[in-house]
Amino acid sequence: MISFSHVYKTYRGNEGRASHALRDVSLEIQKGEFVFLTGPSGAGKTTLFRLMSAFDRPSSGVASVAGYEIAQLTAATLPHFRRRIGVVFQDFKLLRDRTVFENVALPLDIRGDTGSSLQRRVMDGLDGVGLAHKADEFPESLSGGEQQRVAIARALIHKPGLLIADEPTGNLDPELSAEIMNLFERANAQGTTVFVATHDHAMVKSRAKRVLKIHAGQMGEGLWVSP
Amino acid sequence: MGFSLIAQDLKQVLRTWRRQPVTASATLVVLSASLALIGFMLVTSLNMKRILATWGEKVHLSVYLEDDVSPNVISALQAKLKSMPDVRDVEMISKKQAADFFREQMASYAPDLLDDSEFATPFPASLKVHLAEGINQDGSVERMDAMAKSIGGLDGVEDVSYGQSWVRSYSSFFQTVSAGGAVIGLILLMGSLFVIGNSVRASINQRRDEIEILELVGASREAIRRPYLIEGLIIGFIAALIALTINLGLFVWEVGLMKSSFAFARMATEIRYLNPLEAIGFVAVATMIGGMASLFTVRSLNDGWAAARRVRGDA
Repeated sequence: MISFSHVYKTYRGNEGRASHALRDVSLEIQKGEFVFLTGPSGAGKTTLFRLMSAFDRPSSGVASVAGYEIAQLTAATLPHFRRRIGVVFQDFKLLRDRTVFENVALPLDIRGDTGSSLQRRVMDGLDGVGLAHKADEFPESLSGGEQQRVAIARALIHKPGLLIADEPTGNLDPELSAEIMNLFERANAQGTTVFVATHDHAMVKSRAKRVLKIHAGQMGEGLWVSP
Repeated sequence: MGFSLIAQDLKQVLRTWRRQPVTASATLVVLSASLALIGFMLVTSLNMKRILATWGEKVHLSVYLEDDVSPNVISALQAKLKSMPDVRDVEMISKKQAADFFREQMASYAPDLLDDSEFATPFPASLKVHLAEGINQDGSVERMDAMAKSIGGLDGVEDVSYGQSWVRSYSSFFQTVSAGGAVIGLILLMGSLFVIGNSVRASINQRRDEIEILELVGASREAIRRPYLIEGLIIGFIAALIALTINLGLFVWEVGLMKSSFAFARMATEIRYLNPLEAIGFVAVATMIGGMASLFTVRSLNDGWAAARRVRGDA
């Protein structure tokens, strides 16, 4: 499902010096897996997340996700790739001028879904994150945790084959974090491959999942954690 | 494009305006002001040309006849003049008609002249040569000079006059106004397009987040750009209507001013506002400018990787 081979992501600093956010990253994630990516701040978790979600392209190396090579995505194929995955961004990326319902419905809207089935699926999705009663509100009126839950509902609404999340529980209390993880596990149980970048060690430890570690842009040894 | 898509896009445009009324209003105000300026230049330039053309129509050649010229010679001369390509019509002005016209013109200065039955005409008979369109409207001094010379050599002609110095001044004024108008119009048009482009760019830049998010959830380019195009078209259309209304108000004020303060120039009857076809053309062009400015701007942002550009520059 996800295959990175000798991937680099390099940025040019203000003084023109190149710095590697990712260096020689290689990894494999099979279809149906649930994988955590951990590492300290600035280790490269978000950069790796960005490449996986085609938010950005690698500077070199081969990054393949869901059958698409990220660097080769064109303006025409990019939307198709993004419709096949679900992404939870650290800063939520909700449309401020649309209601909670409309934000969650966005992936279905884009696919051309309409009518009562869309209504039902969106309300079910919102129910899953405990926000059905806020369907008509705008994101600005929600707390950070609520906005994050809306973003999660949006990422799962179209039943993607791959769910990629960057710090999805960063703004949530432990109880709600556990609920969100349960949602992810439920999606995983239904066949969705899940990749979660997080620095929440307590949560990672509480789940028996494969964990990838990243440090200074380089991948460490992978391991399995038992609760 | 189906009606439901257009309806959805319109809904989105209205929603954006409701949520960001200041941005939408600022774009509309800038666009209206720019279009009003272009419209003003257009109306002024059209009317200037009309006034100059009217003045040009008054240019004619006076062919003064010799005192003892016979009717046969006059007829031959009239036929000869009428056959010239730049001549529209030839009118005979007898000595008596010339005297009557003079008395009429001088009546306010010398009222006694009207009652003086013994006023002997000092004026010769003449042929008033009306010129074809083109030679009089663009004030072709050289052609008129050549024509006057050739007529002056004909049998029975004493002298030819066409108000040479007036025609020269008119010609030079007409050319200056035409060239100046074109240059000023072009500068204003370029300036306005620049202002319009920047205003639309600022408005769309404020919604860069929206474009990024739509890209990241997999919206196609068409789906992202269509509402912006529709918004640009609507803003262009409304701005054009506002600009036309502002210009109509200005025009009515100008006509009033001309009637009250410049009545002697009799220009108020010569000028007019844009006719319906011109107004429709103006609105259509402005609508297109609004749509194109919007489309070009959103195209420069929406290449699928809008979000990636926010991150530090790639090495």
